Amino acid sequence: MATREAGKKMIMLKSPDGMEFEVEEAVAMESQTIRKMIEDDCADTAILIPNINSKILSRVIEYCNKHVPTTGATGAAASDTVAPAALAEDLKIWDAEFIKVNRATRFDLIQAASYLNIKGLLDLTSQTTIDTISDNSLEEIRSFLSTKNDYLPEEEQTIRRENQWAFQ
Amino acid sequence: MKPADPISKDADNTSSSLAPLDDEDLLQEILLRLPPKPSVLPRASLVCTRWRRILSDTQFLSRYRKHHRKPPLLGFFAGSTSTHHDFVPVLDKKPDCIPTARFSVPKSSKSYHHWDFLGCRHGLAILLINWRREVIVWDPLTGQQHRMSSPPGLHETEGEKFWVWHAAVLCADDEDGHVHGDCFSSPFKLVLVCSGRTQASACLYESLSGVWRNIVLTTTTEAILQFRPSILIGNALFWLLSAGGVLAFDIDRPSLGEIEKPVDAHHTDCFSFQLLRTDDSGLGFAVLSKLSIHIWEKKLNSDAIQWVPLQKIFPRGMRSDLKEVEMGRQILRYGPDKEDSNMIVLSTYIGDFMLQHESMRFEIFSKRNCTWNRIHHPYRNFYTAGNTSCITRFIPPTIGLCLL
Repeated sequence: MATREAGKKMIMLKSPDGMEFEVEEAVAMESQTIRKMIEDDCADTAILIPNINSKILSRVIEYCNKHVPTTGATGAAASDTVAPAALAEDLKIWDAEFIKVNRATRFDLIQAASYLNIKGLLDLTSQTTIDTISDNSLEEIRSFLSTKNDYLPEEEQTIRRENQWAFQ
Repeated sequence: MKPADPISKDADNTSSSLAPLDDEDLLQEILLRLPPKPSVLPRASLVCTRWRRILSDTQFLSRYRKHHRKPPLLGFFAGSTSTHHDFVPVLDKKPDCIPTARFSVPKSSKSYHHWDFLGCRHGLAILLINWRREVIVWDPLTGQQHRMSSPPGLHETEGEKFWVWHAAVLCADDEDGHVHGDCFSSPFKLVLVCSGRTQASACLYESLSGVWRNIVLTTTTEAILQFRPSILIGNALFWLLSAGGVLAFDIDRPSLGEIEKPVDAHHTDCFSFQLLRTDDSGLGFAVLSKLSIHIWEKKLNSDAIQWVPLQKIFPRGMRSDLKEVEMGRQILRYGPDKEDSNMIVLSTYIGDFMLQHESMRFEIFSKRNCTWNRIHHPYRNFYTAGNTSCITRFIPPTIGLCLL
């Protein structure tokens, strides 16, 4: 493995809480924000990632490591021989495990994915949030999202009446 | 109380930051993923006024349609020729079963005046008030209408006394990535056809210019079938004629002409054949023969149009009902919209079946015990109504926030 790593360009990512992460440039470039910085030659030896703490940044790097195309999903030499469909299935299973986090972590990951512009991670985190709430009642959704019902009772009734069938 | 409520487990960490939900862009990013089922947006709008404002915003809805790309099939407008059409929902389970009355087709206030329902495309339906020679483009979601009178001269060809009218509408929005759904406010094109036994004339209306183009004519061997909808392929519209011929209108030129049916296509009556779009986006011609469906595709060989046999389908899923199916009149229908290119509806004595192209299985979606020659016009759209129409007069965001 050492020889495989030897020729690869490494980038240092720094979190605001002072942690440093050395990652392959290709992995870092899964983030379109970082890619642009590197391509515009704005990236020095280390890039400070504001607003993303070390705990979340390490999870983001974990995600990018898994999803970077060149290293393959399994990270093993066998990845060259794995069929694309099997690889995609493997990633899907991995994603499902990866996203088994509490609400706070997931929301932090959404913010990180958005700031770093990592489409796959934004899709995964946002979709999981929607999947979590979509089969639940309005009260459960509000409670989960700590959102207050700010409708007046008569307003709520009017809206319900417009599409009464949708609330049955 | 659900024993294993995923939400309560998931929400364990109550000290979390809810920043993504406070950030308008991120909240929109999350809400874009709401599934395009009919009940979802109306329900989600009730979470709070902020959600309703976002879910009613035209720019958000445009992104929502682009995210999901394919509008779901909400149901069919079904009816017989010259009679009233009703909406038949395709989802029959609550809360996504849209009631028939929700998409109540506009009709004349006088019972002796029929408004003919002629088709449905890009979320818009087209109706004809025959005696007034007036066409209506109707948006089932919002109920809005455009009305246009027939251009003078369309049915004044000499020697014809018998006329059948037909029309087709299509969205002409050329914005990059436009997904059909809220097309009423988009530019549209409308083609009005007047067909006699020996000739037909047609005229193109473009809403952008607001004028009818020149009338184009062709000789024909038969009249148009008013109760079969048009099919759009590329920039051409096609209609079935009463004995199997095809009337073709080229929108770009514009021009009108007749195409003969495949010579070896034999059918029992006008209910047993239909035009369709092939997988290669070509014009197909399907004939129902007992329980198999034979399909031809139009090919252009050495400047001559030829019908080439393409496929024979032997649908599965109706074996146990075979007797009952044969008792009724077999009628072949085909979804004319681009999005419905892989769907066939078979109407029988025991009910209406949808053929899923991939599985080649028929699934019954409407049961009955009689022969009913109804035409089914598939209606695809994102169910966003109740949000767009209401927000401006009901809860402007600023007022909603003040109420707190």
